[in-house]
Amino acid sequence: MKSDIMKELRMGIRTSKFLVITASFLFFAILTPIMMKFILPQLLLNQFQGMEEATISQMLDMSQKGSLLGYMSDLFEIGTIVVVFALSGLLAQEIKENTLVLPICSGKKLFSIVTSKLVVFSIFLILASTLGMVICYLYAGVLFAFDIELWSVVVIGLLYGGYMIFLLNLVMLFGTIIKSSIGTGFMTLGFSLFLYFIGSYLDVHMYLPSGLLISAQNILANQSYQNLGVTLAISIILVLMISKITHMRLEHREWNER
Amino acid sequence: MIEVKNMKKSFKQFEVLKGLDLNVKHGEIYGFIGKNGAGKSTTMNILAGLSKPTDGVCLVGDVNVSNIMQPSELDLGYLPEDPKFYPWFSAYETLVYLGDSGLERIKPRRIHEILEWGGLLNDKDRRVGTFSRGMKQRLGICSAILHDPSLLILDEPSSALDPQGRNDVLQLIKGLKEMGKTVLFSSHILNDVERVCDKIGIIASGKMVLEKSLKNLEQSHFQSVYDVIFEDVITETTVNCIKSSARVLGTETKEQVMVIKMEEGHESVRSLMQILIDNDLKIVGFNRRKHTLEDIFIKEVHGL
Repeated sequence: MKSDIMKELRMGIRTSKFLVITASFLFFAILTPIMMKFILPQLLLNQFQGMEEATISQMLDMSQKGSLLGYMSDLFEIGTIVVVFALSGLLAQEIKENTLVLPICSGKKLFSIVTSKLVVFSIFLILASTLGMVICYLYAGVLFAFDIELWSVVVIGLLYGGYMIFLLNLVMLFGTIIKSSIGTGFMTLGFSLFLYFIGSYLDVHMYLPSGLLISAQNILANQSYQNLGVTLAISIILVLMISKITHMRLEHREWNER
Repeated sequence: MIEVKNMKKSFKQFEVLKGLDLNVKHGEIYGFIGKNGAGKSTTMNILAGLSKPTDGVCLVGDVNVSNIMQPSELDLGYLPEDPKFYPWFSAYETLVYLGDSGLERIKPRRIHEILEWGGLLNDKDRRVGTFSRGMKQRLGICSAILHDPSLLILDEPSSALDPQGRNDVLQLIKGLKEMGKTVLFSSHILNDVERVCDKIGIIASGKMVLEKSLKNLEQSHFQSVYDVIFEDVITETTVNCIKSSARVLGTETKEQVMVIKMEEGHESVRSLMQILIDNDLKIVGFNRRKHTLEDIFIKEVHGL
């Protein structure tokens, strides 16, 4: 397992996957407070000439909390796309390119290969989303004022990281079904958005991994941890089930399929 | 070492292998030849444990391939037709990674030895993505012998390489024979097969059409056609003398060279020599033609 973990770490660094995801998270973490403080008010002033700054301040939530809400929105709308497409080839490409054949023939276990990918990129996603959230918190605090507890922000970062881990598992599963990385990316995005839509339409986010995002918003808005336990438990079970199916699909795979 | 009996393999409706028989003995270098699409790679994938036969018996060592869970349960090294490595790994890192199976970890010293054997020691820290096709093939062979298996299955190891790359790979295969390894390798470059193999098997349309040691094959495919080079330009009289023998089936002449087709059998040679001596015909060259592997291949595959 150690050599597989080292391989994934090297891959993440040398193919710039870590860099791309971290850069996009940090970009929005820094840009969102700046947008809130300077750019958006200026845009609104230009758009509605004659409007007073006080009115604009009432229109926008120009605070640390407002910045974090904006960042969370960016992370869901754009961050997920970056994560899904940066990681879409994690298994799909290995299957398409047949790079798993030599390791399997050399005695590597598929369980170890898949688990290493999940472990390395799960830890990375947790760290990246928490770091992004903390940086946004600090920067927004400097620009506005510190009105939220750091601990809550760390929990929010972890919950977003948890949702990203769910996406990672979907990417791995769909990678065993569709050999194309792009196809895997679109399928993952489509499926996750469909789940989010179902969660909103039927008001069942609590029973879906998308509930992690809703819980994060509730924590930020009113320090409410309600239903978080159920959502977390369901998300963990789903992630374990998906990774088991991924592993089973690989185990029963023939490596010269036509 | 390998025993395949009546092996069949289908992909959905398409039957690739239609009852293949194959036997490889310990220490042999076995050349597995056939046209593109004949079923060579499918056979090799099954033997390597990457795929399961639809029907038939396939024993590698004493292990039935149908019963294994992982390819690593077989004591063999495998080189796919187009070995794919992680381009961001160096050659050394690749072998370190492949050498750590969890149960066994190949020591750095052995990895250095293998890289030296494969002629890659000077490039050990270069990323594999920058390697030429020939270097990748050599790295593939290095990875196949990493765990010191007794059997190596090499799928088209010399194809798509330039003459230098092909020569390097063939030298490595000869080296494997010296190590006492059993090697099954496929190719459609018949010259390569002739250079290194002890035994060949020809597959056509999913069936083995010929399996013989190269020595027996050469003997059984000699033909009674002789190229005789005379000292002087051949005259009508000389031709008539040769044709007077009942064993001569036909002749063709061009200046000093006569191609004589004789009846099959050892007596034919003696008879021809007797005619030459009796008529005091002076010759400077006498050669019995033999089939090349290419002739045999075309004959067996196309029935020509």
